[in-house]
Amino acid sequence: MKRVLVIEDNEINLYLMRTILQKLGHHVIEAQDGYTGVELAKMERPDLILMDIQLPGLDGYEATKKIRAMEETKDIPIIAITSYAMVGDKEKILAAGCTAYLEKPIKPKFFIEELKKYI
Amino acid sequence: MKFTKKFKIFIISAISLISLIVLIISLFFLFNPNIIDSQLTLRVGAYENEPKIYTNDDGNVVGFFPELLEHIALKEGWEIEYIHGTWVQCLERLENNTIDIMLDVAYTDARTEKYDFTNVNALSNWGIVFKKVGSRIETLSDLDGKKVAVMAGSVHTDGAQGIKNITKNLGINCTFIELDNYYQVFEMLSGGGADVGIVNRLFGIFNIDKYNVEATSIIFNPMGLRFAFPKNASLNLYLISSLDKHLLDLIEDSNSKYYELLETYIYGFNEFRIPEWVIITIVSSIGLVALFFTTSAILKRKVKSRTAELQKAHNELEERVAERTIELQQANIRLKGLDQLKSMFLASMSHELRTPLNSIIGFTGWLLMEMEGDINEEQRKQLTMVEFSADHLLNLINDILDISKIEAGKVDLAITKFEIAEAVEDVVNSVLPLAKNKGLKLIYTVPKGIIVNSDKRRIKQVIMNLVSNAIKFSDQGNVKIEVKLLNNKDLEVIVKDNGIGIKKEDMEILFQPFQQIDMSSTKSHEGTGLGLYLSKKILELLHSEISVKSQFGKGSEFKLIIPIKFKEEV
Repeated sequence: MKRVLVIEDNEINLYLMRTILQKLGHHVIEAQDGYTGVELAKMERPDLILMDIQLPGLDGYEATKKIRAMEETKDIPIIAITSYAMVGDKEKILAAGCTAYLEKPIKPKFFIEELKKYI
Repeated sequence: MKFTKKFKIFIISAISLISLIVLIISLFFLFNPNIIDSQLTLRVGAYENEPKIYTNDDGNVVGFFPELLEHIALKEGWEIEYIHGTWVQCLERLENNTIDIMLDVAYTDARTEKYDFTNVNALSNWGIVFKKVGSRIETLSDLDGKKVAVMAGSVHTDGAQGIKNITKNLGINCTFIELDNYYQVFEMLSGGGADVGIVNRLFGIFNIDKYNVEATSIIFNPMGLRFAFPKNASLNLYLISSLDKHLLDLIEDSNSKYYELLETYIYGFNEFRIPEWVIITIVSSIGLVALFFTTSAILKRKVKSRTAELQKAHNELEERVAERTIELQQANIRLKGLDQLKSMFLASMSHELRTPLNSIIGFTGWLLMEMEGDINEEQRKQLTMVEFSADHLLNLINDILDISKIEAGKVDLAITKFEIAEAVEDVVNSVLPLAKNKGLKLIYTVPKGIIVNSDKRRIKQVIMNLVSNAIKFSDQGNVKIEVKLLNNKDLEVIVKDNGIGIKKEDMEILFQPFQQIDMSSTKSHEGTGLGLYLSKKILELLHSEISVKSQFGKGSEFKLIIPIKFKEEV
């Protein structure tokens, strides 16, 4: 069992990810905004972070940068999950410090395969 | 005012200068030595016709003509002897060759029979119709029904171009009162015995002030007054050529004796007057100076006002340009704002639509994975339909997003080197299940090792679209993908099917957005209606071409020509 921090503001999508992760036997820590996400990352030091990019308050880029800037969290893998499909977003996300990039909508099969790479 | 002062100084200077010139010329004439050489004595007919020729109180023959002849004779060294008589007597003597020369003879064709003439006119004369002061007669037609006083036998009365012939030819009826001389004509006119009187120009000018008459604008019968000689006299040749030459010289020089005599006898009323040329010169000079200053003042003002106008126009233009520039800048800012708004809208639409789709697709997939328990066949069928529709919606969103980006010029191509065989295989792998489901064979021939430098994702997207369409619109047979290298320069990609084909009339709308052709056909086909339009747009970006051949009911063939080396500017 791994501890996964999901930072996602949409409750239904949060529920979907929680369902999949729990079914796979992981512990899910949830945050619905960037600031809480960064705080929880620092406090809980999860094994993996699933980061939505468009978030209220502190967005995914900034939250990632903050997490990468803290000694205790700098090595935690972060998978960005975004609905952005604009050119350059992928580069921007990776430049912010994300480990990988997943585009919404998430197909459970594909999602599970990606998760297995990190936990 | 500066202008007035300058002007006065100029006039004074001009007059002084002119006076000096007059003085010098007068002195020249005064001291010019008269050399008299009496080799030839000319017998000249003298008669009374003031001011042209007459005998004064001292018994000397004077007037315009004798003095003109004397002036020339002086230069030629001729001596002059006047033979007095009447006009008629003089002419008779000329005919008999008892005089050598007659002055003041009107030149007519009839007279050339009797006399020889100089070729140059010494003076011109013509008939003038005079009226009583205040009379309204102005034109020839006004003479109709009028009493006309004339001199009997005058060329202006009875000549070919005389008044009698003129009025007759014009159908003007008037009564002629024939008199012996011009004096009587003027006397009768001022006395009221006639409505108009006809005299020659020279007589008229000379005598107008003595009678209560004035000239009308009717003039006629112009003729030259010349020197006349006995027909074929031995001296004629010499005299005529000499006189012609002198007359021409005199007439040409406005300061000559000729004009002095003209002034004295014809226009001057025998009084001492400043020579006319002096007055003319002064007046013209003043006129010219005034004209010069006026013109230059007017021109200056015009130039000034024009300059001001131009300056104003120029300023206005600059203002307008500035205004326009600001307007354009503002418009540009607005457009940039709109552009940003559009980008934001696209991004946000993409996000907002994908978020709910994410859960639909996610949960559907999750349920189909039977992660929440087994599902029966009907549940699976229905969930598959939900998944299919969700995918379709996702494709629509992606296509619309793509087209918006291309049309907004927002597409950044990702140009990389890749092997075309690999790209085609990727496409085949992803559509293979679809083909299998429909029982279609998917055949592809791609030579290995062709490296293309272009946007792999976009090329795959286009080929995928064509192959998907081919599968979609075919129920049997096979779908072929053929790739060839043309001239080591272009890639030729052909996607062929044995499907329903395309009707001729549909070919035109094939590449237009939201045109799903064959709407009336029994079967409806899934598709966004944007695929070919988007493909065309993508190919344009890649400087590539798409063409289609099809036979309705038999199948279609799409052909792509893609440069293997993409160049930024082609």
